[in-house]
Amino acid sequence: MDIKREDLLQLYYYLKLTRKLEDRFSSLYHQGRILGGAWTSNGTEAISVGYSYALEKNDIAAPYFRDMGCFLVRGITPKRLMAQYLGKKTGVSAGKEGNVHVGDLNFGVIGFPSHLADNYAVGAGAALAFKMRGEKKVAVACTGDGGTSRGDFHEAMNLAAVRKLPIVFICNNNQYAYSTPLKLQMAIKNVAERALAYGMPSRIVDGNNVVEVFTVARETYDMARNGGGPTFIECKTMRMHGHSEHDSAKYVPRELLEEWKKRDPILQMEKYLIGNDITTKEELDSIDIRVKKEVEDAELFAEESPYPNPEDCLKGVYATPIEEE
Amino acid sequence: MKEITYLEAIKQAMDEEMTRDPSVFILGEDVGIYGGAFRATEGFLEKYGDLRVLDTPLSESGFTGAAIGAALVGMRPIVEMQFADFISCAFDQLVNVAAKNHYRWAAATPIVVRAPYGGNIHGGAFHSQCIEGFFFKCTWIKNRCPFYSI
Repeated sequence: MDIKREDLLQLYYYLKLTRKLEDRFSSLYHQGRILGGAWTSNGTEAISVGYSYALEKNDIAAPYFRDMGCFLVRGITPKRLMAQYLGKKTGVSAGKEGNVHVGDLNFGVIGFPSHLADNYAVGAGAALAFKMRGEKKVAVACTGDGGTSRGDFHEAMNLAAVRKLPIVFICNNNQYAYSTPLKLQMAIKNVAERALAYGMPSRIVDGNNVVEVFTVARETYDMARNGGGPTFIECKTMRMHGHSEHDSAKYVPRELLEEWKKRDPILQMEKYLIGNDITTKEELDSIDIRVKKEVEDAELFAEESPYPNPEDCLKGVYATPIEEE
Repeated sequence: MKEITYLEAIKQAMDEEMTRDPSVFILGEDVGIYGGAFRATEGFLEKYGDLRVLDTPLSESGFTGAAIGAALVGMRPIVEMQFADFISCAFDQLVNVAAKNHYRWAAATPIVVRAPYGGNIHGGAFHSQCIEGFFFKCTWIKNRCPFYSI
């Protein structure tokens, strides 16, 4: 495996940061301090961390709502994300939107619309632009297993395959779309089978293994970057929380959760790093301390930040037209 | 001033913009090889090539979404709905994605969507609708409906 030690440690750091930050969002939600809902990627963090860390700086990501790791890896700070969740002016959307429905093109992240798989088409458009301009960049778009039933998923996959666009499509197959289990979502065993119909190669990976997600993402980005066209990656995982933090997910069999708990992505990464003598428990502990501090600082920053002014809600409806040069 | 039809005016405007600005491109159904169902892009494929005049699969939502993504990274797409009626298939991408990007996260989404109707072709229930009313409620989309009566 050709991954530098510092990159492996960074993957661990982002897994922990994502988990800790979202755990805090969850607590704040239960304390009634979050405006709106709180969706987390608990148990599936390795997917967004892995696929995002494999991108180059100028590439574009079109994430979905369980991709907190994407925001963090791309450089959107915990401070801005915490402020976003608390509805503050210093948040990513300056208080206009709640939680995860944001993006920031300064960091190559396209905003997430709730309508699932819409970002598959939007991501394909970014890839189309790269191809038109002859740029060696790639786009990555993500959705959940439920999102793959929507028309936009199929329209985007087809367009990308026909035009051999430099994009990689990720599916976070976490077994449940809100309360609907996979077997009521599709009549196929693997989501990846959907790619076959578009003449698109697909890969199935352990979505709880960040090294595997990262490695396969990097391979497929390389292929797309060099004109090889799109790939679909199904990341098999399990959503360990409810659809959102309000949802106790009683419809999920407990034994299924117990089984997947043993395969927790952070646990797996710790074992991998220590088992292969890449790092020590002490070094991981020091990363954990750094993460804890960052999350605490983020909360302090968000608490002290002002709310937007009421009149701000009328601003930004239209962009400022670009003047003729 | 020379009198020309709407169609000629639209064609001329798109031609001028595509010559002036390499980031302008056209996508939609039958806009390339066929030159558009109403011939608005006739000759464009030969002039600008198949990456700037894109014949897309039959997928209004997909190619409208793609136009949005291309616009977000600096392109200036013109989306052609073959008939205005078909815009209903792209409603979600227009009202939830394109229209709200700037308000939500300050990302301008400069796309132009052409939706021709009123060609007096006796098209019936699916080729004759005036669709601008669907979008009147959607503040974030600018509706433009040029007309001229004698």
